Amino acid sequence: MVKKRISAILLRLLAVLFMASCGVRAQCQIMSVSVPDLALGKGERIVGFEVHIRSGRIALLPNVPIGWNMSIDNNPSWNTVVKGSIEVGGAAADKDFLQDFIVIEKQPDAPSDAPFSLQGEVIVTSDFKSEKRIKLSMKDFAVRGAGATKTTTKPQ
Amino acid sequence: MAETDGSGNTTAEYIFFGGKRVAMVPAGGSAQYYVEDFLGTSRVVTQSNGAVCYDADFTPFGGELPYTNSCPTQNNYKFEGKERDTETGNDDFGARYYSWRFGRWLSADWSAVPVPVPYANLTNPQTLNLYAMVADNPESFADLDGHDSDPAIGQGGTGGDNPGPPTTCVVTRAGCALIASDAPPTSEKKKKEQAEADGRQSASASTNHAQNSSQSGPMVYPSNFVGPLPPGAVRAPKQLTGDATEYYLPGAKLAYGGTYDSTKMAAAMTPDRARNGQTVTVSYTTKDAKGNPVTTTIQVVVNDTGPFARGSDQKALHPLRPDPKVVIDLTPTAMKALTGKVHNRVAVTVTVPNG
Repeated sequence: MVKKRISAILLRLLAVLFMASCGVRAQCQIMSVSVPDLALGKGERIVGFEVHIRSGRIALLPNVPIGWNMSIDNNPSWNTVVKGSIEVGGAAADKDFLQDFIVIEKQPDAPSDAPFSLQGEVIVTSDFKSEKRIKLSMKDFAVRGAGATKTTTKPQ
Repeated sequence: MAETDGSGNTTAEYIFFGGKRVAMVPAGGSAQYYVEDFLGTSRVVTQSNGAVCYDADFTPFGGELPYTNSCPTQNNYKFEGKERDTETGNDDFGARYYSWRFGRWLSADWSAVPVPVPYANLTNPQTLNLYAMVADNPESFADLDGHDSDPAIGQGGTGGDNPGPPTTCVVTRAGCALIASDAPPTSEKKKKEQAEADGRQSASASTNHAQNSSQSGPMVYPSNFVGPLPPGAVRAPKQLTGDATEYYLPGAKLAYGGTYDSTKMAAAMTPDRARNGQTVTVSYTTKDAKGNPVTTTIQVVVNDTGPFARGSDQKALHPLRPDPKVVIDLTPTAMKALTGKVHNRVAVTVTVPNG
């Protein structure tokens, strides 16, 4: 619980700092992303993930656990990708890992034919031999303004 | 399994036992039984009354030398039990066709998952040839599915297939002359003479295949043999070479259960290399002040899985598979015992005991 509170404070602090740098840009929107309702089976743990963002970019990864390899492609087209995976079995993560695990910036003045969206997948396993890929669509993500308010909104 | 013609009429039925083709029952005929050697090659076919109607030897790369061929129904399942095309003479292994005339596959090996070199073990140059049959060691190993295998270590995690026969053998008229502990009761010298008389070279018995330990010892199967062993048989110890790195995950829940403990003499290895709970030996050789080699050996218990491979872009490959360069991850305590310091990466040899 304490750990969660510390990470929430840290996240808000980071977001505030980022907002300071982002302040000169019009309509800069910093959002924190979570996957609140991931359906994990018994004994399943997370060994990888991939999130594709349209009309947005990765601003921060607040928590990169030891034993994980993260890869970010902040493509200037604002179609960006973040991927992560484990190096050894012990580094496999529980569901909590996906709470506020990415901080993103929405593209200012996103084109109407390419609205902001998130999709991706989470790779889970229970035996480290076979894997299951859980596809994530926009409705599976919870996006909230980072640093500004605690209100959680689920986009359309 | 039934075989039908273009009209859907059954022409023959095949009977399998333990995953092997053991008999064919032609439509309107009586059963014919396959007798295979250790490579799975159909060397003899008998009729239901026991009479031999097909008898042949095969050259190491699959050339057929028939002595008797009078079966009522032609046998097309020959080298390593795969179907030989009657028009081209090529063998259908599933993923690819094989030509015994060339001793080579007719197409390069391929992988469903994009990888730099399909089914290759980068520590075994023989596996880099995408046209070579079982790494050019066809007297010792069979191919199951048309994809290259790495007989040296049988990298299942990289997609290697069943390494085939349970022992090194020399195919002769008399059968498969075993170079193993429970080989037919002929002396090793006689076996060598027999092989030389046949003009064939024995595959080296000094590899990590079955070893001739003693006349009365258990049957030793290759360490990479896939499948259950017969009663009393054991797997040979497996020797793996690669780098050892360190992992420090305080408080983490390990893949096989339990909690990470950096003070334990423990390690992470992928399941194709060592199983959970196995004690493996790790050897590291360095040089002393005078330049003499000094080898340090430790024993560690495998209690986690990894390290996992990454692509050339450093992104993880899924499904998870072994890192081809790093064979073992050690706890800091184990790394210090092995090399004298922590946060190290060194080349090691890991010996995994009998499976």
